[in-house]
Amino acid sequence: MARIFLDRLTKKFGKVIALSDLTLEVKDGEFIAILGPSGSGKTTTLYLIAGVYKPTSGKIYFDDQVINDIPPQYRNIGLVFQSYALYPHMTVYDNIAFPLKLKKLPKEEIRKRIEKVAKMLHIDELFSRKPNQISGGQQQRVALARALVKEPNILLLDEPLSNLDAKLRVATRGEIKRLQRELGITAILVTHDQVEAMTMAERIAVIHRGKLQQYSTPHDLYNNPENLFVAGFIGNPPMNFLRGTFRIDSGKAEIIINGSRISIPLERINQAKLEIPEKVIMGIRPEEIAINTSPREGWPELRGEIYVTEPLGKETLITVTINEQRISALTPKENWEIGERVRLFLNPERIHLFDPKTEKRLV
Amino acid sequence: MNEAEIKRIKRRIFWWNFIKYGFMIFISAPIILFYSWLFIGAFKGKHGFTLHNWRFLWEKTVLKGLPNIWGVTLNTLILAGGVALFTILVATLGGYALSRLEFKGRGPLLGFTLALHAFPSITLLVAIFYILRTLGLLNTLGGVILVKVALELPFATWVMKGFYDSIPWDIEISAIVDGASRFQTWFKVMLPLAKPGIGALSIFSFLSGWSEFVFVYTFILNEKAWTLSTYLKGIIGEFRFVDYGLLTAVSVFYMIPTLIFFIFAQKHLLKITMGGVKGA
Repeated sequence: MARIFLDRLTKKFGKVIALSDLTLEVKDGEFIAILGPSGSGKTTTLYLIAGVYKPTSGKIYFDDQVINDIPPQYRNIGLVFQSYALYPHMTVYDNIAFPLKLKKLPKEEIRKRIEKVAKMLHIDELFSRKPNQISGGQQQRVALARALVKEPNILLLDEPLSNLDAKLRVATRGEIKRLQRELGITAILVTHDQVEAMTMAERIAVIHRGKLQQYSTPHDLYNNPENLFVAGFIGNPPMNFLRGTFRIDSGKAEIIINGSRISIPLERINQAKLEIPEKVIMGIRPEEIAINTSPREGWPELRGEIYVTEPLGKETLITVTINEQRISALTPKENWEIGERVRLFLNPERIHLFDPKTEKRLV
Repeated sequence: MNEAEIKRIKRRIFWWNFIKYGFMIFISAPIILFYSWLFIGAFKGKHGFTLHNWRFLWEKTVLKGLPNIWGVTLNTLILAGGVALFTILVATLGGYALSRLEFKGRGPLLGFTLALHAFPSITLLVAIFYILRTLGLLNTLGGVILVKVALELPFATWVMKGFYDSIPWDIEISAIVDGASRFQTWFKVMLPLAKPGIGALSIFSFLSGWSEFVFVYTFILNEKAWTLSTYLKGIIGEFRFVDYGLLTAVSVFYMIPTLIFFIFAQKHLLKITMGGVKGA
């Protein structure tokens, strides 16, 4: 078990900066996710922690030790790859035994440990099979078993669920989370799938273009995104962004979007830490918009025409055109006509304002 | 589509196949004829079928000046086996380094290796002769093995590099994180996965050593170190009539390893492409 601390970690490949100035702490026994689109530097971070790459600058701590120069084989890390990276020429048993055999553990001990971990992951029937003779889900379990059998200090998961079909993914998600709790192992999950990150991790580090955008709990990321990227990346369907002009007029704060006025409670504006410029981007989640209900007290209204409707089962996602801009809303009602004129009411407490230049959240 | 139309299409297919197969039979006829002549000649005497041509297998001296076939065969095996062994030993290591390790001059080395392969080795004959004489390796099989291995290596290394390239990095990283050193990773994970490459290469380098003539003929003057290729040359001789029956029989004998190999490895060979990417 270990605490991980990354101190201003930077990794360059030639002139390309893959990761810049990342500072991150993972508590002992915590499960965090590194979330970002492909090419954001998340796998680089993982490989830095594993010791596959050496940082260009910055330090990596396990507990209180700087381990920058310790080669991967001495870091006692369990790593699960997206491709599972099982050794195709070995049986399942030999795959799991591989790290233990390298440690030169006695045969009996190896067998005991493999049986224990295999039982936990329900793969004890597969010992004599080769990786290409078992299903994707089973391969994934074997990879997990191989990572866990050495009783690592840290478990690193690189997109472990991406190659599973949708149903299995949901089941495995829960199982991995459960397993991590039971073993109390420090774990880092790398993923591009926000649902995976939100459901599994206690805290999520959102990374974009090699830079840490925000590091917080799933709830906090969802409710208080620090910038446009996090706001747009977290949440499905994604947050709406509308360009508008901000002004304070006779004690009232409002945003003007294509001529419609959206008023925002003044006390929220007063909480803003940064100065609000004239041009702003307003953000609101589809689930915070009501369609065609009776007017609500203090909820600003927008009018527009339905552009497209997408039934999602429990709800319908409706995209409405307001002059040149589009906005999506979730509603339980099913029957909508394309081209129908509708009234949208926005929850004033959940309206966010962003600075289009710095992309930082203001309110 | 009516009946007449279908008939027309069928006729067209028939003629097209006729042309295709006719052409292929025509261009492969020489090969088929040569080999038929060889096999028939090996068992044909003045009065039909005979094993007399094969007397070299059990008679001590068949022709004056020709050494015993079994010693020659042993020499050929040593040469071919030696070439295969040392080529594989160096190429599996060198190919790994070229495929996976970062070092100065890796790019130029890769290019140079390919250029070396394209270089006609026969032009080196005289230079190698002097080098071997200086080293005292003239007239020894070891000398020829050394030369052959050196000349096989560029291609072999390149092929092995291709096979290593096709193994995903994930697997190698996984082995390292699992606690293996770089050498253990190579030996326990990469090498077994490159087995098809090693198999193909050992066969090719074995056959290349088996069929070597020029270097053996040039560097080995002592008939005790002859191989089958120089033995064949010896039958043709210079001042006597050629015994074609004997010549064809020895030729067939000489072809045995190649035949065995192609009979057994045909299926397997088709699955391997020299780039190292596994097909089908």
